[in-house]
Amino acid sequence: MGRFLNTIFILFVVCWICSFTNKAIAGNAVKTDVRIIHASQGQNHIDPKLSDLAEELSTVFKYTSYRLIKEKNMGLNENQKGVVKLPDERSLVVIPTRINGENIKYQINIFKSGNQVFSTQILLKNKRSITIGGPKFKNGYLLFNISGKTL
Amino acid sequence: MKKACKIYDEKTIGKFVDNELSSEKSKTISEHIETCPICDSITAKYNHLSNIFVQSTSKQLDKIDTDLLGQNVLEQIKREENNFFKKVFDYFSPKLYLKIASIVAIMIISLTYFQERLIRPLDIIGPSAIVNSVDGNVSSVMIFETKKSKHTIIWFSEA
Repeated sequence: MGRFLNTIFILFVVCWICSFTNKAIAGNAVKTDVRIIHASQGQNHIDPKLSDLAEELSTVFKYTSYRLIKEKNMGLNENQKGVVKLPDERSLVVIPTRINGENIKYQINIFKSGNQVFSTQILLKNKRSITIGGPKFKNGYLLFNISGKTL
Repeated sequence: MKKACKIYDEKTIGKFVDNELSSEKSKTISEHIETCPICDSITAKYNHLSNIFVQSTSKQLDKIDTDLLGQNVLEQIKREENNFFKKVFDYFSPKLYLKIASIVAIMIISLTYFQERLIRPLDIIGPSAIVNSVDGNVSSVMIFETKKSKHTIIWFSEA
């Protein structure tokens, strides 16, 4: 019985250490996916790749068309800059400044013709996403959906 | 009436015949037997009985086929090894603690592995992101979230 309890204890400690190691490893890099969406009140259309997000957005926006303009998947280390080119000489810069198992802190900057027009710091929950929108584009607006997942 | 030796009783003589006494004692009795006809007679009687026993035992042992006996033992071992119930018993009895420990370990690892997936749905209760700061050349900023999955949205109007 003593050996049984010892074995259980050792295995429990190993699992406990593994769970911490997992979190430590998870803190090294983050998979960041950026989707550039054109939302407008044109002809009804929902891009199949946006079906999950469009359903959510339609609860707060009155747009009838959601088109995926561009998608970029990046594996970023802490403080590594990820750049996504946008229409109309715009660009989006996303930097994971702090990564842990629960949250990812992002610095997000939007530039237009080289000038910064928007900047935000967010604390994104792991495996979830945020949508930033506002810039006008082709009778509609641009939306940037940014999701993060620790690796 | 049977005569008895005044020095040694029959039990001691019996032990002498069976070599169960110390060498010193045996030597003393051996010297005594040479001078004591009673003990000599008892010794002769026991030696005779001993000889009869050894001879009869030898005869019986000669009758035993050791090869056949070995074969039978091996067959018996083989039968026991092939016994289903014995296999089941062997599986559950030796090092049972190790098997239970393995099962518990698998359960712990599974719980650790699935912990995130089990707890994850609860995270949806909160917003997908917390906005720490907003800055830029903008005329207005709105921060809101969807009802269903609490998806955070930042909406800004360029200046």
